[in-house]
Amino acid sequence: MTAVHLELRGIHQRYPGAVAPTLSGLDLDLPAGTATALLGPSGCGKSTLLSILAGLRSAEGTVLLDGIDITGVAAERRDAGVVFQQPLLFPHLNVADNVAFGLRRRGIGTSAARRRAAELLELVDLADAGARRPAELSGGQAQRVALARALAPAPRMLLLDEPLSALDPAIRTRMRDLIRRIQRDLRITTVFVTHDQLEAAEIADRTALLLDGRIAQAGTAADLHLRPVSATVARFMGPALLVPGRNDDGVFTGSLGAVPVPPGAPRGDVLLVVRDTAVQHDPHGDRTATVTAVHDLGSAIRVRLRAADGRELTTTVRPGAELPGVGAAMTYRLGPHALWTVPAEHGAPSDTSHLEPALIEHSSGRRS
Amino acid sequence: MVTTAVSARHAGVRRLALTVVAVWVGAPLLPLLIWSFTRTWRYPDLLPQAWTTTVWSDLAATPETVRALLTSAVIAMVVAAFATAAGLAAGRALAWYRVRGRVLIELLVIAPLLIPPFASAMGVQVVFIRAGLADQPVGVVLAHLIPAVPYTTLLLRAAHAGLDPRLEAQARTLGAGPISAIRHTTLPAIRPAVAAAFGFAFLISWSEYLMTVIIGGGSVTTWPMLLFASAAGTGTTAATSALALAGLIPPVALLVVAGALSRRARPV
Repeated sequence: MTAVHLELRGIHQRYPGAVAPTLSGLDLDLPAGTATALLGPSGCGKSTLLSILAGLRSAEGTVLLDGIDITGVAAERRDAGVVFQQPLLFPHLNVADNVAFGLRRRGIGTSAARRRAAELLELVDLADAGARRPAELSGGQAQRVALARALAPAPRMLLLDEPLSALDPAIRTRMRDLIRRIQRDLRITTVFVTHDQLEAAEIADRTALLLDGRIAQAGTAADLHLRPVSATVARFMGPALLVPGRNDDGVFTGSLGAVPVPPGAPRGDVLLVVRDTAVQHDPHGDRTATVTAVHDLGSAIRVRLRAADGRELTTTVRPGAELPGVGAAMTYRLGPHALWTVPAEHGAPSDTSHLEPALIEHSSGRRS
Repeated sequence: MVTTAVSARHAGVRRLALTVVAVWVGAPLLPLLIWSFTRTWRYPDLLPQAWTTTVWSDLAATPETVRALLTSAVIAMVVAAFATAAGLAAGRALAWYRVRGRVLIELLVIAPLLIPPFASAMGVQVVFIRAGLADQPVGVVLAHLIPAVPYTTLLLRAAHAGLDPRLEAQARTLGAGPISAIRHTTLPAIRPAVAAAFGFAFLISWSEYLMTVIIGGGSVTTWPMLLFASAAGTGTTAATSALALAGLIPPVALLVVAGALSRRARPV
């Protein structure tokens, strides 16, 4: 089966009684055979969007499959394999019959369905579990059965709604690898809903960030992290210092002084986005800042700095490096890696340095 | 060895418990059984002096008796079917959907269990007479639904509450239509509760006397009416005993069939 291209056009959705719409004029392209991570904070409408793709929820707008309008097509005719956060295995059926469920509903005979179910169970490394009841499975096993069940009817799209969130961290890693392997092997157009950037980067080819009812940015994980299109995206993607100033011909000028920025970064009135990795400890660096705290994490050392203009910077230094003590000055250089500019915001706080760093990190989502 | 000893002791306790229950349920029926095979059984005889099967053959040969048993069975089946269907819909809605005025609806559902049947039966009769539903089986079926639906609704609401409503959404994504999703996921998952609800409704209808007398107005004769009349003096002790025992057959048969059905494993 060839992979399908999915497009969402102008999707509007508002829950009854809700003040603001969940999705407002959302557009998203899901190229054939790719895996796209749908990233966003809790309650941003990621799962709602997935239900709309699956046909389980109606919304204004258009869903196109290879250019054909499938907006009005019922869930059971969409050929979408769906795995939710909970495995949702049918409690009255054993594992093999759960996997065969979609095949039986499509009129495939018992023995053919059983054969196909056995194949799928082998694919998810549960070849021996066919006769077991759902209640006898661990969380990770149940979720693998749910994946096998979703894939059994050879769906045209695979929709995964935070399928790893309920699993233990160790099992989560294995399941993540399994999903990625299967997606690459089958080349099935896949949407993976998550609030975890790391998970998004590891499973998907592309990441689409859903904020305020729209796709704020879609691209590779590195694009979103290093080349955000807005201050909002920059803030969501992790701790960053945002410094107001101007970008004229690739040189940023602001309270941090003159900083060269990569070509292609927006010009004019901008905010300079400084990721931690842009701040590099370098005895020959051209800048100095005062060390305010040193945290030895074992695998790395995190150093808090106060720049000349009073801004808080954070940098990570490899373990064992010689560092000045707290209160002393440290020389460093800025970039060029992990520097970018975004258009200045009007009326919104442009500087997050007044926030507690821990608070900023927390908003970047759980890393596991 | 320990486990064997423990399981053997468990089996012993189980057998004892079953025996106690069997005696508890069976013992009161024994005099009825004896009475139904004799004409006279006087004090201080431990057992009747003369045995006969004429009581039973008379019973089977009386058209009214057979007809009353059949009427009861048909009415009870129809009541059980409708009460189970209503209980499925109401139980589903109350357990799964955000229903406006839920508390009021729930109170209405259990109201027939709280209000004395005699109080409601009078009002129901007036309404049914005006609607032309009195004195006929349809009216009796509707009247029996009043005490039956609360039980089926409560039972099936509990069954739905123990099931994730998203199972049906999952079934939809696997190619099942809305009805097919209910048929292949929800219903099989709550089958024991559906069987229990059906059985309850059947038994409620089967033993319902008051509603039948008032709404049926004597034109619809069911088994309890014959039994009550016979016990009240129109019949002999022997005939009443046989009638009481005959009335046990349909419910017991239903229990056996339902038990067998709910044990049978069914593939996809």
